[in-house]
Amino acid sequence: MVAQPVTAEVVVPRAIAIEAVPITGLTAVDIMAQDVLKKANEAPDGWRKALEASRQTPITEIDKTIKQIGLERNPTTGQKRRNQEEQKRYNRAEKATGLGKKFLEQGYDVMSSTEQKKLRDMVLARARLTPALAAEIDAMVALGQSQEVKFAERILKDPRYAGFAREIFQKNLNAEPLADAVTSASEKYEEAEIRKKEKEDESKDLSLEIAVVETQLVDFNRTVNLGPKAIEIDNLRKEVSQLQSEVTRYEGDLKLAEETLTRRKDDREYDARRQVGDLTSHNLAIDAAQKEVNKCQKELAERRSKIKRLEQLEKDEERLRNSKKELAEKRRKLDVERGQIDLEWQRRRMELEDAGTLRASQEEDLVRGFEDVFNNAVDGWVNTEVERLSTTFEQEITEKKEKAKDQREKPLYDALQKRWVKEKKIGKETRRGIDKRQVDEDYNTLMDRGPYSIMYDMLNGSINPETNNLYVPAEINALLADKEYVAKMQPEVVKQLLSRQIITEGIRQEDIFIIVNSHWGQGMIEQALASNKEFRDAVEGVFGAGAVKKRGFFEKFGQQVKEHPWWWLWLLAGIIGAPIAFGIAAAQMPHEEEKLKMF
Amino acid sequence: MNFDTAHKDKIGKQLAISLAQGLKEGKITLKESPVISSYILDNIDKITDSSQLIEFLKKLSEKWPIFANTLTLEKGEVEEVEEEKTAKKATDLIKENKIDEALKTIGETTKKEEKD
Repeated sequence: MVAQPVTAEVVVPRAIAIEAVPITGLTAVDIMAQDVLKKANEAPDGWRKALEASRQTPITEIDKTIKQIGLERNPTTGQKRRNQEEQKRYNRAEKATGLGKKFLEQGYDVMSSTEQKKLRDMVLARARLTPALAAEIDAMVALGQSQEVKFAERILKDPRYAGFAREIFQKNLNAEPLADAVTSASEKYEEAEIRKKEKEDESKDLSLEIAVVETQLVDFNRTVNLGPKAIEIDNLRKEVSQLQSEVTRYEGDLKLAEETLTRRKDDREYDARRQVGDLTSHNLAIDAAQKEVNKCQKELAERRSKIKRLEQLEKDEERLRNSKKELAEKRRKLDVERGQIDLEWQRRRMELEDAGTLRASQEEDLVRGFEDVFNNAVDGWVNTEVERLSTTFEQEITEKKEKAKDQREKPLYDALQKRWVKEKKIGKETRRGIDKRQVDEDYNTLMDRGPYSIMYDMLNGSINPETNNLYVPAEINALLADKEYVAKMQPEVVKQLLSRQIITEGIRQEDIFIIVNSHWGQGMIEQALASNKEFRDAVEGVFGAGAVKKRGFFEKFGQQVKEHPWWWLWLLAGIIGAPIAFGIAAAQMPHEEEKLKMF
Repeated sequence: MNFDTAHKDKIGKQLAISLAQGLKEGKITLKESPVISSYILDNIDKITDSSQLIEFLKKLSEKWPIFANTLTLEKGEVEEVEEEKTAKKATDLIKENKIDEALKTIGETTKKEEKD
């Protein structure tokens, strides 16, 4: 019996009942208190759920979470001073969280038509990434927009979808506060910048000092263009020994002249001259002696001055050259220091850039986390559907194995149970998923060579119940040559493989021709029709009564499947008695909608 | 006295209800609530006997007085159990005519209660 699908009409009120916050006028604290109390009273260990619920950051705290975006603050008002990029991110976060909050607190139905369309578009875009759904959505596009809307709304109003959305939203909300490495990096960078500036100023002062010394040293240049002071020094050096001897001579002359002058001025000499009335001659003698003294002093001063000038020039040159050396040493040390400070500054700048980039990416992750809530919830929803279908496929094999009367069927059922299963460890839990690689490999083999080698491979390594030993090739060949056995088991292998292929990758349009024209494909379709009356009736409803036995049926069937890929799910889900896969059949029914409602 | 699952569920429920009341009466804020819940959930499973439970409840009440009632109730119950045990032990000792030992047992329990 095919399970009745959950119609949109049923899902909608249920989704609202669970997801809406129905009472207005209650504060977030009241809602939380009610929720805790309700959960605590629900079951003996309900207190755990109650405390877990209150452990979650309430959605009302969302503003605090997104207000983390941006770092700088207005020193007066304390308000965030976001730059352009940060403001853009903040606006996006506000938009995304607003949408999420409204959906989670009030439900899909109370949202505006624009918001609803946005959600539907997100759901459809993400659903398209799932191979099993992509073909179905494409088919729906051909059927008109209302089909797409119904499909997306089935998901959006499914309480499980809202559950995933809430979980993802909450996870973003509970995320660790954004780390602020930027502020300290910025402070360190500013310190490094100050040190760098100080050294630059120091370097400029030093350069000026060096320039002054070098300019002064130009006068002392002794290379190609001799400086004026260098020439002067050279000339004075040439003269210096003569000057020194002249100084000695003039010192002697001066001494004599001074003695003469003293003698002339002597009172006794004056008296002698006065007595003879020869004062003129006396005065003239003094003048002459004075002139001689003056002359000697002048000559001496000239020579001493030249010698002193030489000494001074030499001292100046030495001082300037020493100064140049000292400044060069100072320059060397300063350059080393500047190099270190520049390196430090560059390191700090890079750290600041890295911290800024990291912070920006953390903020971006935060925003994306909220923007992707609806997309990622689709993944969660699809995964549970895939898991549910996988479980259904496995259950069906188990049931058939238990019912099998021919013991030769069991090894193949055993192999079918393991063939496309992949176990995944999620925390402490082991979950069974579909081994996509194996499905893909077997599907390609099926399309290229048919199911024989796959069945052979499944039996190879299995225990032959008739011998209790591993099958040997001759036994496998003999078993697969048994028409009755193959007629029963081959469609089983094919449909199990195609069921998984449609979930993992979908069936390629070009492969439909192969399936509907191959004996194994036809065998599978025939078995589907024979084992499921509702399916058969529905198909005959489309093609006309008795059409399945008429010639050309498989071509027509292939054509229908090409136009409406969702038929595969319908066909395969119908065969195995699963509920409608992905809950989409009711949302996509074409003109024959009424006839297919039993699904 | 062992702290079994039923006892844990009883205490857990009382604490959750106190938390809800605290929120409703404005004694706890939405910001505090996750901290309190985390403290309870992180510690309650480590408790194995009544003395550890009392110690846990004491610390909890010191941090958030809304849980003081749970502490008082639990202490009362523990004392009651202790008293019953003492009474039974004393009765048994009296039956064996060990009056001094019976008085000593009663005295020790009284001292312990006074200390608590």
